[in-house]
Amino acid sequence: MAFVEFQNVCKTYGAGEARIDALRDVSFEIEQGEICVIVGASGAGKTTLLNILGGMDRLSEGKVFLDGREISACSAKQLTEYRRHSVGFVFQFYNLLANMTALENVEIAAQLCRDPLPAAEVLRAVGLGERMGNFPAELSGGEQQRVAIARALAKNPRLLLCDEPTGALDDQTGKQILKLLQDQSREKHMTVVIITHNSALTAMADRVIRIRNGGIAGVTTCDSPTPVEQIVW
Amino acid sequence: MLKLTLRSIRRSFGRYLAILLIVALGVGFFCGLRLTKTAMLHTLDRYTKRLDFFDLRLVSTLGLTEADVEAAAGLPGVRLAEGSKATDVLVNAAGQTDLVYHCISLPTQVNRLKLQSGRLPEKPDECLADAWNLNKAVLGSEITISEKNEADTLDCFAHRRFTVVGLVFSPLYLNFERGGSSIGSGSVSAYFYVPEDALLMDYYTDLYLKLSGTDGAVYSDRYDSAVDARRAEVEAFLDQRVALRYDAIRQEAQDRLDEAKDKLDSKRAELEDAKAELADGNRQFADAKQAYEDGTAALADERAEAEQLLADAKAELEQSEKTLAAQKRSLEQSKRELAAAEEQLRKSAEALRQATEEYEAASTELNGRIAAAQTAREAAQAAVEEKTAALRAAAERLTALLAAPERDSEAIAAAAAEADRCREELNAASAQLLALIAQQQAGAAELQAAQAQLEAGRQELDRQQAAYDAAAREIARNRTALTTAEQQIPQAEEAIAAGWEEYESRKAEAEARLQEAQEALDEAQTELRRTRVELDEAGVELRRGQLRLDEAQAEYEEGLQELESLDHGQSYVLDRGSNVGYACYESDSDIVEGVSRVFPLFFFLVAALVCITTMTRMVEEQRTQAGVLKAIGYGNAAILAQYLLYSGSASVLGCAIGSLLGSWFLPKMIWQAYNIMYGFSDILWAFDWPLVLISSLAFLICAMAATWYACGRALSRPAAELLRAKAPRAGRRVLLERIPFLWRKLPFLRKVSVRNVLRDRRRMVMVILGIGGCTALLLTGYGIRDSITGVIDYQFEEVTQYDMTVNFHRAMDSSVQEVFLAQHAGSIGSARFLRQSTVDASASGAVKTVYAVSAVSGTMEGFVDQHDENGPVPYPGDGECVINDGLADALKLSVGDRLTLRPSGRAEATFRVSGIFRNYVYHYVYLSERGYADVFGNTDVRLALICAPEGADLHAVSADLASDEQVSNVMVNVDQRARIETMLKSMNYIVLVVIVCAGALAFIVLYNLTNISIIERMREIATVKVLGFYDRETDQYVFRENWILTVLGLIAGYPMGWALHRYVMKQIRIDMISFDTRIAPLSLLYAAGLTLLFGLIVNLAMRRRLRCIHMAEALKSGE
Repeated sequence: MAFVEFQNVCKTYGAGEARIDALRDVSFEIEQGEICVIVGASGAGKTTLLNILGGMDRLSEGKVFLDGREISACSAKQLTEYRRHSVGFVFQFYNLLANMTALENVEIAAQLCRDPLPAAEVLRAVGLGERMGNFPAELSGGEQQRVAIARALAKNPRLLLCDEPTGALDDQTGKQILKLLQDQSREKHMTVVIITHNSALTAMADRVIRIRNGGIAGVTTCDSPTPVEQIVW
Repeated sequence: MLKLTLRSIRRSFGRYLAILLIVALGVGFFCGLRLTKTAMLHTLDRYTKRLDFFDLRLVSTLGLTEADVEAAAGLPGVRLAEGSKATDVLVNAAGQTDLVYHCISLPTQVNRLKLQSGRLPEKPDECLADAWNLNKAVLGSEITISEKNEADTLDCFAHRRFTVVGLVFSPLYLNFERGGSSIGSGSVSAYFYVPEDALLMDYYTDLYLKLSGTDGAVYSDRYDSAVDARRAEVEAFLDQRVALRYDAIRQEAQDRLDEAKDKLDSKRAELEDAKAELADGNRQFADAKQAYEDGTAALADERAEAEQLLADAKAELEQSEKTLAAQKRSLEQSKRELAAAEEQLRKSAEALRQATEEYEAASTELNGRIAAAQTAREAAQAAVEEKTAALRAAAERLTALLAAPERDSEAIAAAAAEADRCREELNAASAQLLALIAQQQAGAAELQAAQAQLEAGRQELDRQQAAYDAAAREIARNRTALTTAEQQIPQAEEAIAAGWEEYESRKAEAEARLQEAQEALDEAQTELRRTRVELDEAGVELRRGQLRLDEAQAEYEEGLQELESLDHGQSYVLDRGSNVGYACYESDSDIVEGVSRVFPLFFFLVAALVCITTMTRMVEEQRTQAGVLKAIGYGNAAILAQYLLYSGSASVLGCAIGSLLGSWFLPKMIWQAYNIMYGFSDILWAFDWPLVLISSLAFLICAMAATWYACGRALSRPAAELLRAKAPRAGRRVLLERIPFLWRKLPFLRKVSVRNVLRDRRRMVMVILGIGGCTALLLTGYGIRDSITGVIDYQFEEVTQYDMTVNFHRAMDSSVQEVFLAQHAGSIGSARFLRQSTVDASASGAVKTVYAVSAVSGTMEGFVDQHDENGPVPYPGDGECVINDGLADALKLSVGDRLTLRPSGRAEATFRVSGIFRNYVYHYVYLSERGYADVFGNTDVRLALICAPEGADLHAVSADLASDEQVSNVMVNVDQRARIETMLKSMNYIVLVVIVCAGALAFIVLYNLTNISIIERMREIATVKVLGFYDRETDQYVFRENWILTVLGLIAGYPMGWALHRYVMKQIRIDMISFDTRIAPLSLLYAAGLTLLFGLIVNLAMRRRLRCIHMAEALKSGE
């Protein structure tokens, strides 16, 4: 069984006339240690997919497994636990806690899980050794995103979910971020799922899942992904 | 634009509601509390006008008459005048016995009644009862006048039973207080109204006047001055009427006394008569006694005499018997003698016969000689024959003589015959003898001698014969005597027997007579005894009569004295202020007003803050929209108008709702609370347009200004900046972080909370203000209660140590005091007699009415604990005084200052304040006895403080003391305390109102702020949720700062509450009572607890909102 497995997942918002199918019969698998890029246009349902995978949202039909565990059957509390211990998130708008320093932002996540990495170390690993004591407002976008990644990594998650991690960043910074993600994945054999509308990123992925209109348009695996530095978009 | 506003209202309805509610709450409370007083006064005003509540009450100690009422009705400015009879009476009613009820005659003009249920009396033995204390169940039941009432009281009632036909509220009793009484338990339980005819007093106890031109509202200056304008006139009138009444009463009393005197005199005369009669009786008794004693002596004499007589008779009889016996014996002797005599006689007869024979022999010889001489004698025969014839004649005469005896007559006859024969022989012999004599002339001498011898013999014989005859006659006679004597013996015996019989009968008769006499005497003695008893009784009766007479005399003299000292009559013209209910009502409504002055302030403040925060938040949320509008070309004014419309409409709506609900609901609610005291009517709706408009306008301006302030800042920026997303607020280090050793010790999440707390100063200030305000309100509410109830506790537990106060009818001098104490020794543990007067005390330009008190020979120790913070305050010496702290505050006095007392009608006197003691109820100035006498002149003692013996039943003691005729009334402190406590229970409702409003305040503030805070931090919260915070952790993360703020607010609230409490207490300060401005520790806890509870409720409510934050949704928004 694959590390991540979606089996005929449907997600419906609303009811009756206003019923919108965000996901329709989605099935795919992701192996452990892979970098998977889910790509699709705005509104294709990729965020919904990520939310479901991240335990932030519920599906309407189907099943989702992570490492053999059926997430779709978890209770709210079990989902919280799942998020807490198994998943790391990186958001488009970083979502750092404004009232905490970079270090504290990492620490707050590290505190939660059973087997965290030392916060300061992780920050240094993402290249922010010098800026640990700064508040997010004092950091640039890239730096903030690094803090966000550090926060996700510090939890030492088995699955790292990134929602448009480069969406609010310029190319250069974006690349640095993606590089960071790729390196961490390789280094720690961590499964990374990146959601983006930017097809250029597919090059760095081990597996690319294309989504269109709430359905899978195609899944491609790539045995030798391009290092991020070489990708141009 | 309007659409936009409407839409934003719909979208942020909670926020809109928050503004609306806080404004509604503020306006509501302000208007409500303000209007409560207005409504209360309005209610009372309508009530008093409808029932014609009196303006002036005329009271005279001498009572008032029909004429007085009529005269009063004729006074200028008097609209209505009505006399009223009233008395306290013990009744059995509503299943209880011996309750003190106040009975009043049914009014028809002034102080009319409000019929609550039932109907008005139609018969003279029907009555209306107190609707306050009795419920409908008593309708149809009876109020029975107890037999335990004094005769005077019983005489007042035409009927002993009254059927309750209706329940009424009387304007004379606005609140629950029914007043004290000099009978029974000392306090009146309820009143009841009976038709005037049912009360038989010939005077009115009160005269109620309703003046014209007094249509000003209750308590208003207009009303007061209208009443005052008439007062002097009415007082003069009353004085005049009382003087008339005095004369009438005096006259009547004089008449009565005269009558009494007449009666007394006649009684005295009667008594004198009775006395004379008794003396007479006594005399008669003495006579009778003397007679009795004489009788007894006479009886004894008689008895002795009779006994003597009897004894004599007996002796005589016995003598007779002896005599008889002797006679018998002598008779026997005589018989024997007689027999011997007869023997002798026979012997004599023998001798005689011998003699005779001898004589015959002699004679025969002689005869022989005679025969010899016969021839001689023949010649002398004739002479002898003559002699013989003569002898025969003599013999015949002897025969005749001898013929008398009966028995021996024959013998005697024989003897006589023999004698005759002898004589014949003798004759022959004589003849012979003569013949012999003759023959023998010689022998004549012999014959002579023989003859002489014969003659001698003859004479002898004759002598012997005569002796014999004599003896025979003697014997015969003796025999006859003997026979007679013998015959007499049975006669004598019979006589003796008869004598004995007579003796016995005489004795019996004597005894019977004596017996009779004895019985008569005995009877006489009994009679005497009875008479004695009767006399004694009469004597006792007489003495009793004398005593009664003396008493009557004393009474009469007393009456006379009373008449002399007849009170000229105290009269009073009292206004409504003297009516307890009316007076309390004002101060109670003042309390509400005092509260209303403070609390709304908070609401203004909080409403402003809520508006500012809310609008700021709103403007921030909608900055893009504002930017767009600005970019499109709308002016600042237009955009601002949109927000002003938002907050303005919320305010207007809030004001409308608040003022309507507040002025409807709050007075009703507070009235509900006061219903414990005043139940006479439902509260009337009072609406004060200016007040509502002004307060609404104030809130509106406040909200608009807040909006202006919030928007103005945002809108001053250029459109482009507005369009750009606002940069997240920078994180901030707090001061605490500069103290590393403390900071480091804080757990990580706490640090965040601390930073969060300090992140938004405005919000922090607002929460602290809101929560602090809430705590302050609660603290004030509880504090009011503490302060007021504390007064009672302190007054009755610390200050007042005596158990009851006794008022006396008359002045008690020291001997009377001792008698009183001795009479009630069982009821009195200790007692202190006091002199007390009401007097104006002044210092530093202020004047207060106080009680001036002086303890009679002693201090107040053991009765009133006079102490200050430093311990006991010593009793003042001459020229000094000790005053209570409240008075000292009011007159700005401290120890060593001088206090002036101004008794009415006397010169003022100044005293040095030697001590200030704690006292809460009433103002007191304690003076030395001399000081008191100097000020008042009058040193009558009419008051005593009593401590009951340990463990005694106070009410039993009170009843015992009240039964003393010198005592006019007894006030038991525990009763008084209970009454005051009941009254102050309404405080709990005030506290409840405060708690409710504080709760509402806390809730709105916390809810609004937490709400805003959550909305602002939606992303942050979503983030921590995504990070895997459990719900509980999320809650803690968010609410920890709420708690911190709440606790900070709480801490800030304490001093605020303390200050507010002091302020409110100052507002509701009632003269004569010094509130002990204090807050109990428990109240601090309550205030904190309730504040936290409100916080908890808000947090619980907000937690549901937190749960609803959808992580995915929250994270999406880029805004």
